[in-house]
Amino acid sequence: MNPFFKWLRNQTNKTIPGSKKEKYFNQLKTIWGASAKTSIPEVPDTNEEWQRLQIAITEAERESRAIHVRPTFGNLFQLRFAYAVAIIVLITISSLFIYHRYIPVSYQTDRKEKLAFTLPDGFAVQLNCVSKLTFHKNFNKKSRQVTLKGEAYFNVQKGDLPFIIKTDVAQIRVLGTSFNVRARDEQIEVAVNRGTVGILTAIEGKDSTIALKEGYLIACSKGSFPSQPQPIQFDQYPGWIHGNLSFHQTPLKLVCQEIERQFDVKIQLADQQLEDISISGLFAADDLNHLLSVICILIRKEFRYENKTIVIY
Amino acid sequence: MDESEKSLLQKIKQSDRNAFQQIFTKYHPILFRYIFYRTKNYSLAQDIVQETFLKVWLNRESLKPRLAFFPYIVKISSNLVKDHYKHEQVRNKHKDSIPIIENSIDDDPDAALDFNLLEQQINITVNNNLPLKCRTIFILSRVEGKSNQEIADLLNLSKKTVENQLYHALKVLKKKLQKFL
Repeated sequence: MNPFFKWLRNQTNKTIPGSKKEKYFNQLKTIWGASAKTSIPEVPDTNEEWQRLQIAITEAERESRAIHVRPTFGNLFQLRFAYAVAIIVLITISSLFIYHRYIPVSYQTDRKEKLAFTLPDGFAVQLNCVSKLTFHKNFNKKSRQVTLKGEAYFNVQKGDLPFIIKTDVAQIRVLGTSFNVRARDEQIEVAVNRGTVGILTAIEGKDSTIALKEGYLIACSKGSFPSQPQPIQFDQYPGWIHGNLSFHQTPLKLVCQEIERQFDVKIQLADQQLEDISISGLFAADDLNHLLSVICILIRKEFRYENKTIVIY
Repeated sequence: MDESEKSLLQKIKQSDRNAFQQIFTKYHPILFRYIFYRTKNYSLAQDIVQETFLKVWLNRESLKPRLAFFPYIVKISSNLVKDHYKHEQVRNKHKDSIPIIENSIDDDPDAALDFNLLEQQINITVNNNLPLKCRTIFILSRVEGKSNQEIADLLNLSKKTVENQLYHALKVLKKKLQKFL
């Protein structure tokens, strides 16, 4: 018997029959008795319930894993934010990288204008009139490569990296020399003053490499392989470096173009046949009138000024 | 609380399913009867017990082996019962259902004499008017027929507390059920 009920019964027995206290304890006893009358059905089979629970656990754990994987709006936003930040950082870094590496640096000259400068590796370049030399900011890091349009004289010392000059017509590869490159109008002329230069031309997948020795020059037009090297005729070649003009069996048309560039003038040939007269020689280029008269004597023609144009007739 | 239960809970914390099965086997019947007393609905009691143990397993990492297990599952299942009725109330609000008649006895004085009816009223009062601890002790004592010592062990309480709580429960019931006595 429950000790509490024992106490309850004792309390009841102690009270005077018919008193309020007796009634009170009797009522408690009634409740005590009645409360135990609740009928509880047979409890479900524990083993079956355990099996049921195992299934529920498996499902719940699979669901909770799925919830972890499924991105909610919140972390989707964070994910997108992270992507955006990553992309911005990537673009910034790569553009800085591209800028330093691939943004070309170019030196350009106009008519009557010559330029002397040094490349990042410290070597001197002289740029003739109406010429453009381009190289990338990472020059001297992985390669020493320049692109030339026009005429330039290079004085390159031997370095770890080969020096490469790209032109429309050919690639010139050197290790350490002084040489002149003229790359104009889809024509190229390379003249070596010191050392040796390799000239690479590629036409329709076929390569040709010619080694050009000191004291020789070579000419080549686009779409054809270079001719045989010829010895340089003049001491001071290329003439423009020394304030001269040097021509070697050069058509008058090209001579005139060179004079136009050097003096910023316009020269007109009265007769088309004059274009093909070839000129050789070293000419002082300090005075235009003097130069023109010397050339005119050579070709037995004359020149005159018509407004600002020089006409050779 | 015995030492074996403490070590079982420690093992459950470390995801030991055998320990969990032992605890389940021990507490499933008593919890079912407790919930049935509260709901008078067999399948609902069955589901709530299932859900209670599911919660225990899913939150096993936060188990506290030093504390008694039975009050813990009573607390979880009581909340589930509460939630169930809250949802039911909301559902009923929208269903225009007939309200549950609790005190229909008022109209039928003879029925008050019915012992079963008194038992029903005790049930309602226990479920609605007793605080959780008091209710648990009363149900364990009167429905489960557990001795005061057993209840004290189960709930990690002193025997004296159990007796005091039983007396308190009876007083509340007597007051509430005056017209049935």
